Amino acid sequence: MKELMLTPKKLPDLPLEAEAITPDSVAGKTLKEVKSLPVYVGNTVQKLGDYFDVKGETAETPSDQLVAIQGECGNVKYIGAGMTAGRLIVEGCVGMHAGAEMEGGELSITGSASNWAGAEMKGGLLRIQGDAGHQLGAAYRGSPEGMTGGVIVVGGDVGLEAGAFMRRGMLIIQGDADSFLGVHMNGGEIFVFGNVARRLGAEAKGNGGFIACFGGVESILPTYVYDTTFRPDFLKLYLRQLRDQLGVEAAGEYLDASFRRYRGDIAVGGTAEILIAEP
Amino acid sequence: MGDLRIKGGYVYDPLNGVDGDAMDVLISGGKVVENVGRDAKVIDAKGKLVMAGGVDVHSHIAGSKINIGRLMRPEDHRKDVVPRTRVTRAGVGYSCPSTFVAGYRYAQMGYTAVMEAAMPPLGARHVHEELNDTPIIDKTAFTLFGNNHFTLKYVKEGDLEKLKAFISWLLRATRGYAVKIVNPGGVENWKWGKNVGGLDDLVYNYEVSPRQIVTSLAQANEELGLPHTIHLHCNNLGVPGNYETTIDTMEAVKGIKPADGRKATVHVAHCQFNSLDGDNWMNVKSGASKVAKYVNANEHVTIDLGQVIFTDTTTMTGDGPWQFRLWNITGNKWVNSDVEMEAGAGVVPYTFRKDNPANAIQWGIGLELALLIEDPWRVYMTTDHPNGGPFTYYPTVIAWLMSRQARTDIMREMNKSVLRRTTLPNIYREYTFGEIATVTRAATAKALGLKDKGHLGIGADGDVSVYHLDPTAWRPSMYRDLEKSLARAAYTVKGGEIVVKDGEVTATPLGSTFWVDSKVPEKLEAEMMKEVEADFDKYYTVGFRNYPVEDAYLPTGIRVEARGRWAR
Repeated sequence: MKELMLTPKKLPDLPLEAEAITPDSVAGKTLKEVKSLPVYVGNTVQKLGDYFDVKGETAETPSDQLVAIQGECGNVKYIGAGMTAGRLIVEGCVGMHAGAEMEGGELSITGSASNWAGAEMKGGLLRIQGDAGHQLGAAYRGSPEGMTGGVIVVGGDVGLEAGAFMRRGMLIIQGDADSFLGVHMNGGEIFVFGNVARRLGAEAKGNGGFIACFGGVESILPTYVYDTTFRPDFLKLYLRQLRDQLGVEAAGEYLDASFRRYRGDIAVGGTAEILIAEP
Repeated sequence: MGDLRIKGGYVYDPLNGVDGDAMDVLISGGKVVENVGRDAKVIDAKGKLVMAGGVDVHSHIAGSKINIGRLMRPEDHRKDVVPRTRVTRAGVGYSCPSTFVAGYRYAQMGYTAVMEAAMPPLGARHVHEELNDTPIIDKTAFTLFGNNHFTLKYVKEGDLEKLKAFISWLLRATRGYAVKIVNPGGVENWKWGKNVGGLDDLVYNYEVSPRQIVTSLAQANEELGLPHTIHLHCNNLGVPGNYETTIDTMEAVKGIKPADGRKATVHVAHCQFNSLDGDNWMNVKSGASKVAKYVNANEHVTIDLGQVIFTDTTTMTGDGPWQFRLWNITGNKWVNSDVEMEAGAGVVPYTFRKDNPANAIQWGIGLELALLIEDPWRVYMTTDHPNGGPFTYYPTVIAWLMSRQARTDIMREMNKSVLRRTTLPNIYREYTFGEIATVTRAATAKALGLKDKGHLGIGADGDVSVYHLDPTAWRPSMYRDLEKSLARAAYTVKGGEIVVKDGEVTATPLGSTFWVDSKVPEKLEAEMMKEVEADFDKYYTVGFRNYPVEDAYLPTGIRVEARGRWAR
């Protein structure tokens, strides 16, 4: 795997829109070409090289490409958006829409991500070690489907509407989740190891989707109906995978936990499940 | 604007009997003329296809309905962002394009006139404001009449004279061009949560039937001598088995005497949605052959296709109850709109899929209608934009009409229902270029009574489209080339000005908006107005004086006089 290093120089006051920072757009290009990739500031088109020092080497194909960003990019949007292969590592924070609509590869962020991280993600792995903002892995406004594949692992807390309109894929939150987690969910899996605020799973249709809550839930919507307390085998398999494959240590503590199961949202005839670990 | 000589192209002008002859088209002062000066600008059209500018008979490009679509579908816009250029504005596209983009895209395909097919009278100002922002193309808007309180009232009273006076006044007040009827009676009943199931169901409180509404309006329309026939969206749209209702409706207006100079008394819009056979969506099959048989045998009917395209689109009709039904089928987003005394509407996004048996059949029905109806002067190519699919797919539809191979190739990817439950696989007909010019230009302009459009005879408007395509060398197997060249005209000329070159917009003049002025005796109109004003004060939310569209709303309006009995 060949490594390309990007170090932010002086970033503009306006947000910088940098769809160009993906393994896909740098692979197969010379460093000079990489430096002249377009980035957007306000209504102007600028060059990537104007704002980042570019070093290292590029690979032939995106799957052999590692892109590392060293430094804070809190005001840089669309990092890794639409990437299909390779690795992209950011040592610091990222701005909005990081990894939006990504289809494959791995995007790793050591700091926090802003809103719309992994929005409408189709595949790949998005790992955020800090917190994530609102609408993590959500559908953009109007779209009927949010995440349709891939995995998002968040080390810290997430904001509102995480996993909205989720269709497939997996969302793992090791900290707390704010309101409307998995709103309109229609498939997929969400795991939360911290606290979950109110109205999770509102208007969820189900389709095999569930939200597993390990750290307690502030309240459950009245349109979710309790039906059983059980110890599901499938969850044990999931948790083992989370621990062994994705390094989610907390998962190991709940291998033998029993869960209260609620079904809903019956307001829309849904069959989604909310599973709450018994203390 | 200088003179223009479009030199040596293969010209298809069916209204004047020109069928692929290599000749020059000369334009001066925005009109086709016999001679131009020596300094005329020359467009070299040698080896290219030349036709009059396209005339779309049924499309939804302006007004409250499409605007609801725009509001509720940000995802539709996100996937099709159009940046500005030196001459064009930025915008968004796909199934609910912004006004400017709609104008540009029509022009890029060589279309120069488009009919907005449903204008609720209360939304007339909005429609005209948007039409003014739709550049290049000429426009008209069809005013909705079928569920209007006053229409129903006069039909109930059996007072045809006052109905005529009302039509005449409302067309003038809304600057409308034709009488549009959407699910007659059904939309009024929808205000009570119901619909009508056939031609002889009754409308609540008015106790009239759809049959009475349609025949009265058709009769009035012909007696007023309006340039277009009634433009009808039949009852039971999208209900399996509805081909019977469609044929009944056509039969109901058969006896009516057409206005001078034409044979038709009814135009059935987006007929594909009204030609379903079967009992439900499980055993639905094509009723197109039956409808086509009727149309072939009866000269008083014209139709347009409403061809289905396999894509994500937005359905929007004035047919509130149908949109509710569609929402129940799909579970997609739904907006219902109620236009107090006059009309209603609904908007639901919909994706037509190749693997869906019903969608595959619908696709087949549209093409069956086009291919089974023998007279191209009575069947017009539309997608009922955006209901069947965006208008940008017209080149694809033309390819299906002109190439059996194109149809076979796509049928291989489709649900097998299209093979078993339509007759399309057994149809070998392929349209000629002359027939395409007919169904997209000549016949539509003729049906609309736009006598200077759709042809290239002396005195016609200087609207010409030139395509990078040699019709003498073209074979049906080359349908992909055809699609490409029709999607991006080599030249589009509008009123003698080159507006598109090689598929890029080069100028954006504002087209005209046509409206119909028809006359009834003053005394009759005064009597009718007294009644209308009284009901207005009682029931409407707007003041009577604020209701009619002022001339300021039509900076480029063109008045078309109806040729009825009372015309001066």
